[in-house]
Amino acid sequence: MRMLSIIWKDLKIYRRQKKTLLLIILCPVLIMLIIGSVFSGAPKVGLKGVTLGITGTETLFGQEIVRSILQEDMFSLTQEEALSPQEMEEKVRAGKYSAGIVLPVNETDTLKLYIDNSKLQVAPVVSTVFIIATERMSFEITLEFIEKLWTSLSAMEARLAPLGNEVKSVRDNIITINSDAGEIKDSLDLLDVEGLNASVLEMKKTLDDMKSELNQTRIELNTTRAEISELNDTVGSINSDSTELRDQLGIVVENINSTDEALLELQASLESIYNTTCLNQTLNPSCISTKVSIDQIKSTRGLLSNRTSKIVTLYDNLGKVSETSADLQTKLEEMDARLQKMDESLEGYIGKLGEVKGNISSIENAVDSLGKIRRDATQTFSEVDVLTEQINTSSEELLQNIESTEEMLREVTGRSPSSVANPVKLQRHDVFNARSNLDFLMPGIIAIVLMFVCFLLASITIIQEKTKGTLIRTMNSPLSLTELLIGKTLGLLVIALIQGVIIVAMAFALYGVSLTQSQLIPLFEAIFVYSASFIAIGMVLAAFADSENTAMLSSLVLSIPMLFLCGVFYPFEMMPETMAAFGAYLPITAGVEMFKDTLIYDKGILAGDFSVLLAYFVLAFAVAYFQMRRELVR
Amino acid sequence: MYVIETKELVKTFGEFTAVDGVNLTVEKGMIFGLLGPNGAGKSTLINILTCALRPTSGTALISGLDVAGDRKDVLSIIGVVPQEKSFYEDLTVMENLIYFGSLYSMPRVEIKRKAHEILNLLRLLDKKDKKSKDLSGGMKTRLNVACALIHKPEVLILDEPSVGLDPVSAMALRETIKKVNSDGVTVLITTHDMMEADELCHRIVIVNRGKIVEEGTPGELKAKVGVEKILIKSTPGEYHALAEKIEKIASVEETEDALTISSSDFQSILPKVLEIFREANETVVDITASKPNLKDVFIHATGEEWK
Repeated sequence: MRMLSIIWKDLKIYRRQKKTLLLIILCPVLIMLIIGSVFSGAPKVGLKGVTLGITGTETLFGQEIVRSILQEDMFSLTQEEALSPQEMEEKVRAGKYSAGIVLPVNETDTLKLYIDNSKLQVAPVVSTVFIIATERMSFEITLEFIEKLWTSLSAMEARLAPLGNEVKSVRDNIITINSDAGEIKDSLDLLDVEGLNASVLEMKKTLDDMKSELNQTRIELNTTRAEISELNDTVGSINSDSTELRDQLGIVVENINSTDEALLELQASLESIYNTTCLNQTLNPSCISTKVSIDQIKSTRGLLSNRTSKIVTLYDNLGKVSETSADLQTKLEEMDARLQKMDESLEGYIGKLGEVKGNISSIENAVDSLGKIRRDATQTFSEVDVLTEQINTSSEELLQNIESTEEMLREVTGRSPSSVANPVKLQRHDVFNARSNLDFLMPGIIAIVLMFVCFLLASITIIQEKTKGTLIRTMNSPLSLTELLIGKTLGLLVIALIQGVIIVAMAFALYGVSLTQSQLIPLFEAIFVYSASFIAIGMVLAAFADSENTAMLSSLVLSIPMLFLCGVFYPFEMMPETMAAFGAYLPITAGVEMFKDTLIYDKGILAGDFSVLLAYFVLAFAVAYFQMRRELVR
Repeated sequence: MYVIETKELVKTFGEFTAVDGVNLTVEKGMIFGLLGPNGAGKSTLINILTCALRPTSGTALISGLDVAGDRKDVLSIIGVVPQEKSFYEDLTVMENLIYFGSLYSMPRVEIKRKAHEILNLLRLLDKKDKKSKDLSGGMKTRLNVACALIHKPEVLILDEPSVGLDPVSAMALRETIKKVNSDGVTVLITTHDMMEADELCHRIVIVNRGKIVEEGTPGELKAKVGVEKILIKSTPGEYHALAEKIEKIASVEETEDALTISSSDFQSILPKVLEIFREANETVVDITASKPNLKDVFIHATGEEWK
């Protein structure tokens, strides 16, 4: 019963403290709303907006990587132009990216992944996801390549056997050609070009002799013709003299006819011989002799006729002479005609001989050419020999190679493409591999501790001053409200700085947290501005609160959601976008980032976070000031 | 020249007028009391004089300084003793005095010298190094006053200082105020304790509904009433019936265990009153006669009950 009284009394008091009552209801509602918003979407959403730098995307392989990465909603990708691995590592180390990828120029080189392992929750997830993604992607690329290779190799393998046969055939053909060439060479060697030349020269000399002889014959022939012509003239004059004498010796003629007849018979006999043997060989010396004999007989008959019966015989002889002369003339004319034809024939022969000589010159040229051909052919055949030898050797080697290639291809194509596909090697580098997890938690620890300290101390001390009346009493002095608030802020800042020193000193001394001398000043500057902003916010809570309960609950309503929205326990990359955007502008987040920049990334204090905290301080200070002034001076 | 002077001072909160055209003058060196029931406007008036509220209209001057325009100067010549014990319990007595002295930009040596003087005056010197939370109730009350005196104010303003105090502490407070006043400090005190005002104040204003209804020395005010009171207790104590009969001859106030009869001429009405008791078979067991007090003055002036 007494306990019930206590319960009833406490509930009654809470009911009457309107702001406390409101906060008792609002505190779980607000906390659940905010935390629920952060976590409810997480399993579906997964990591988002993980900053990823990539360089070396100029190659086809690089573009494939980028395309593969862009399929992941997780990354916020920035393509850097031509960064060295060291430069990329520096960018990750400076906190610009959660991870950095350096793509190799050559696909077979190692792909380097630099991870900001200070992000304890994000780093392993990114690493795993990235390894899986890149390996899958590289596997696809390699598999595709190998499948193409397989197709090509199969086609090659199919072509190799015919090719071998073709090579063998070519080699056989070359051997045949070589053999043929050898035979040609032998044939050419058998050619007696010098003998041919000598024969041609002999023929030319013979022809020249023949030509000069023919010319000489023509000269003699023409002389003969002249002589025949002269003889013909003589015979003609004889004929006319004989006719004249016969006419005169008509009477005598009959007397001497008998003699003449005897002579005539001889003459006839000689002429018969002559005509028989010398019809076509008038120039034959025997014929000529015969002819001379005939003529001597005729002269004898004339003489006889002259002597015995000078007139009669002469007369008969003269008749005969006349006839004979006429006949002789005719024969001489025929002979001349024949000699003329002979001359013409000789002239023709001489012309023919010229033509034959010209032909012989052509033969001579041909023989020269043949000699040159033989020399060239000898050189060519020598080269063909060398070439054939080389081709023979090469084709032997080629055949051996083809056989070994066929054997190798049979071995390779006997395996499956997937067993050959080897993923691209991914090399992970933790950029802060020399640091402990406490190093990475330090920014969060400092931020959380100082947030609670500043929140609670600022709100509770001012509430206590309000409720105990010391605030009113203080404000009854000439002290201005601004002076009071600044004084309060500075006092609490001293406490915050002391706490900061204790945390940092313990972390450094007991747990070996990495800390350099150059980091100390920016660290405590960050602690200063961070604490100031939370002290100012705490003063706002105190200004609106009317009891310690209200101040405490207000602090919880603000601080608990901030714990989950600052990215320390639950990374921004896992939050829904709206909550992440909201969380990014909270003072605790700016503080955590500032401590990270100082302790992990060693960048000192960045203007952005500093400005956010300064803005919170100024705004909260102004709100606290005006609210308290409204209460103190009405 | 008055140390405190208000002219047609008005303070309204929305439709409600807390201070309604108050004209007040306080001479140097006196203990001045603002007497009135709760909600009369005393605290509002005090808050205006201590620069915690801005007057809606009218002026309020302290040593010639306008509380609305010369806040810093006004605050540096007044000392305010709040109702609650407003000091830091984790600080020692001396530390509290040094802290509050430093708010007035006093040199530390001067603060210490003045602290010794005050602590000696208020009999706290031997406790100067003791944590404030370890002091007795009376000591805390004195320390509360001491903190308001550290900067040598011309005027000490106390708003209901004895509220919640035990009788010993209340007495100690009154002694302290007297000592401070004897030291030359003008004291303005608000109270709804008639006895306290009667005992302490050289001059009193009675405030009701934001207005000053009476002003004068306690003697002057009581003389204005001139009514005495007789408290009669009887058995069986049917006071209601008795009151109805007595009303016809005198002013009567009925309480649970007594009747209080007021009259300026008891010599003539007292026998009549006793006759009424007899007639009603009431046996008088106690008769207490009292002179007029400030409450009577209030009732006389306002015609309202003191609440």
